[in-house]
Amino acid sequence: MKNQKSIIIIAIVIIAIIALIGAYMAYQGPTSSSGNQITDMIGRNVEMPAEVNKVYSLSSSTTVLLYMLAPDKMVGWDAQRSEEENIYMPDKYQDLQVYGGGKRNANYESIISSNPDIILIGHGGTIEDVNKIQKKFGQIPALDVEGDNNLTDILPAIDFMGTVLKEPEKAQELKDFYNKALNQVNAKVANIPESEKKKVYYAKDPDGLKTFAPGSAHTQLINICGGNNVVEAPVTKGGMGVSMELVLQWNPDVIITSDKQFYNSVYSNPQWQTINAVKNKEVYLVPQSPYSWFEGPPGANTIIGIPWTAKVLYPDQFKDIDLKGLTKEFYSKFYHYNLTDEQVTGILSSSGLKEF
Amino acid sequence: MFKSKIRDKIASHEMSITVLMIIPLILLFFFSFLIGRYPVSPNEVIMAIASKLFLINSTLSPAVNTIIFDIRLPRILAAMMVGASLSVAGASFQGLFQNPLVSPDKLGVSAGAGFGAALAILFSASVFMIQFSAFVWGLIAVGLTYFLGRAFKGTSMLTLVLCGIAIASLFGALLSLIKYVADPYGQLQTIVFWLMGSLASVNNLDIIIMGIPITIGTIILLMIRWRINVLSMGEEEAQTLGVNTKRLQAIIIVCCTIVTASAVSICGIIGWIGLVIPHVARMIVGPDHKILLPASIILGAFFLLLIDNVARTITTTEIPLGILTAIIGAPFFLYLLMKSKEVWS
Amino acid sequence: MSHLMEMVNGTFSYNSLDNIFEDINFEVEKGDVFCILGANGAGKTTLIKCLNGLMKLSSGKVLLNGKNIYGLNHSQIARNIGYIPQIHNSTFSFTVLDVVLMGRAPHLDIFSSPSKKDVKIAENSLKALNIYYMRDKPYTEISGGEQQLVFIARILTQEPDILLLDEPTSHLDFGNQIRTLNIIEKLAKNGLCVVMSSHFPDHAFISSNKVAIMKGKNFIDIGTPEEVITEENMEKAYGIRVKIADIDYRRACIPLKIK
Repeated sequence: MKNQKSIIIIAIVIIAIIALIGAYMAYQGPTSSSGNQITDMIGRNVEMPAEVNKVYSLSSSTTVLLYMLAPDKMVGWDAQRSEEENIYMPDKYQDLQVYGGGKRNANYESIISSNPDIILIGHGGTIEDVNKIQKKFGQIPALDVEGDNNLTDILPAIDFMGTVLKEPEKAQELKDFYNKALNQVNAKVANIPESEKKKVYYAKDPDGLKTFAPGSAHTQLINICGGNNVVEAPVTKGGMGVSMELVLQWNPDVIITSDKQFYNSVYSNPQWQTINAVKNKEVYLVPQSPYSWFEGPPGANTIIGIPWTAKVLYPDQFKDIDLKGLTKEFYSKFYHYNLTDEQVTGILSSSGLKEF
Repeated sequence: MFKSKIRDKIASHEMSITVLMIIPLILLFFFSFLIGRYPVSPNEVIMAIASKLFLINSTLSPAVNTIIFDIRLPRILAAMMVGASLSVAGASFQGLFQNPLVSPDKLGVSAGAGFGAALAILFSASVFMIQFSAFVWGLIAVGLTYFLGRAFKGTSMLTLVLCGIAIASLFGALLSLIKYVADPYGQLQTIVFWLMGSLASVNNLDIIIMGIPITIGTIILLMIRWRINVLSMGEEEAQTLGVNTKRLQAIIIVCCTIVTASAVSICGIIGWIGLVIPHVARMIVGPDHKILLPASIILGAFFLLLIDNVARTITTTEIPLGILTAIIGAPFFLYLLMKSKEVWS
Repeated sequence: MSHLMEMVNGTFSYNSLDNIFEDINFEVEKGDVFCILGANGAGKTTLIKCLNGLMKLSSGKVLLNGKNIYGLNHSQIARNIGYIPQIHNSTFSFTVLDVVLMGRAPHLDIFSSPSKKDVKIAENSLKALNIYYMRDKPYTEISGGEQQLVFIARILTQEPDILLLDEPTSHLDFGNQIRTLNIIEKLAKNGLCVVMSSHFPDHAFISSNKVAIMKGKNFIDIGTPEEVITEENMEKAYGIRVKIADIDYRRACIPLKIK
């Protein structure tokens, strides 16, 4: 029994130590306020540094916005980028280190050792979750951005990013481009009668049988551009697999895919031959560099997808859209890459568009 | 030979070897504060700790304080706690099932916890809810296994293991279903990363919340550890030696499940440790659970702390623990296996 | 005056359709060595397991000092009745001392480990059987005969009044069989009561003072070895002819060739 008593005593001591350390850690001294405060998009008041020259973003949609508005302030990437994605990205940005993303493989020490002035968290969850992330960065302000992954409600996120990055003009340019693209499309889409709306299927994976539930942010462009997503599912969120039979039954007029392998094989795959989209050569491949035009991640990168999808669905109605010009403008302003005429033509024609 | 020589040595001073094993753990504990991607000098570490202990105003930069107290300290404590709990649960389960191939997730706790976490992630729940859901579903899975096992006639340990396999694959299938419908750019990545285990986001509060059930469960296991010896001779024999086997089995299952579920809920699923550390401990101190359990605790804490140090320092991103435990652990274990020929018969 | 152990109208069945044995009555006292003989599948093992509550009689009762054992808890039973199973599956290579120490389990509460006093008792049991020298050897690395001695040492450490031995000689070589019987006899002389099952009628002559033959759900005979082990009974029980003869200073049972 003597033995047992000593175990209990040791255990009590351990618990006491844990509790003490915890209590001490949980106690935070009052933070001094210098008046330079900002409220982030989840409602936290955050002390801002006088200058913002180095920024790290923890999630892909905010990284896109950061890259668009202030690429030279980036200290690293949240995820590894593929060679294909890097084709239309200047080398100096490609060479930045990868420090990992939030809720995944973010290495907090790596990030801190790159001395960022602020941290950006995209749609970070609850206030408690955001505060937990803030705790890992100590005095470096971590700001939550909401709506960064939702194309239909992305303007506040662009505004907020413009403010914290101290790049309001650039943010205004992006908003203008977004409004211009959207207005061009909205006006015509409203006039398309329900009966003439194209039935669209978005295909992922080499077999083309993975898609998203209707209502998912990943297929927003179909709705924005006046298409009807053929997918019928009991859920409204998330990815899903579908069977070949369902696709045959839905018989989409247009198929948009982000998978090159699927795109290259669909016209020769006997299973897909009876589908209208395949019969009429209406299968399109989403451009992927430096970011996907359609989804993955959903967000600001898909702004250029608005005119593209419009052209994909209704080439005749949207003849007036100068997609080539828009692409060049978008790439030079926001992707910091001046495309040559050849390159634009290459991007657009390899996406399957016949006229642009 | 390796084994019997060591065993002869320890026969007389069994506890002192366990005490001896604490020393490398303590050294590693302090060493762990010195390493990481952010350069912090040993002096700064000592200053930082001293300033907290003696309430001196530290002159260190706030970044160093954050690195030491909000990033390294919780990880170091969590790594030791999780490593220790998975190992002690593994050692106890191996005794309970009289089978050295058993790991603490045999009755479905990891499968249940994985499902629970994925479910919470799917519904975009907060980090705390993810942990809570993992913990609760881990308990639910084992509870189902246990009551199914009891419901069948001839309530042997084998029936229980078979029920555990069935329940684990059921929850495995449910988990796959969730992964299938999860958003591939957010939730799915989070789920996959969670399933591979990481201590990157552990904070001090997690350690307090989960430290309490883990400590209580571990203490109870330590208190009954000699009885596990008797139980490991077989249920029938243990009964004739006066052990209330049903009750003892229930106590072990409940404690191991709580301890494992708590550990899994803060760091995700980390395989291998619960299976292998008890073996390594057995090679060093022999099969007597009286020494084996404390030895497993120390070794488990040491091993996971070592692994986590690698996980957070080797590249600019985090490496999932589940990957490292196997990559580093497997060759190490095979080496030990070669050195000591027969460990159990 | 109650008997040390007594079975009254003992009946057992697994599924209440077909009884393994029924209506068995016997009693044993201090110093008795009671040997149960019978063919394979006669129900000897089941009967022995019913005596310490490992299995529960369908009807009838087992009395220990006049008290029904089903009213006692595991450690109360274990403090009175020790048991060595026929087959032991070893998983972990405990030392001999660790195994013998397990005999102290019924005397300790659930949160206790053996004290120095318990180790002393275990060591004395080892010494009594002259196996103290293998104290620190893994019990999985010793011979079957030595293992049997270790289990006997464990049962002595348990300090019960009754030993239940399920075919204690079945896995042993010729010499070890006789040595084990010799130890059993000695233990009985020291006041223990031994109940064992056996496949060798001859062993009953060597060590027992009481024998029963199990066949067709019941004892066909019970009494002293000389009364029970007869040529007729052996033919009934095993279907073979034997010769009972007095050799040297003891009676022996010698099987004859099947014609």
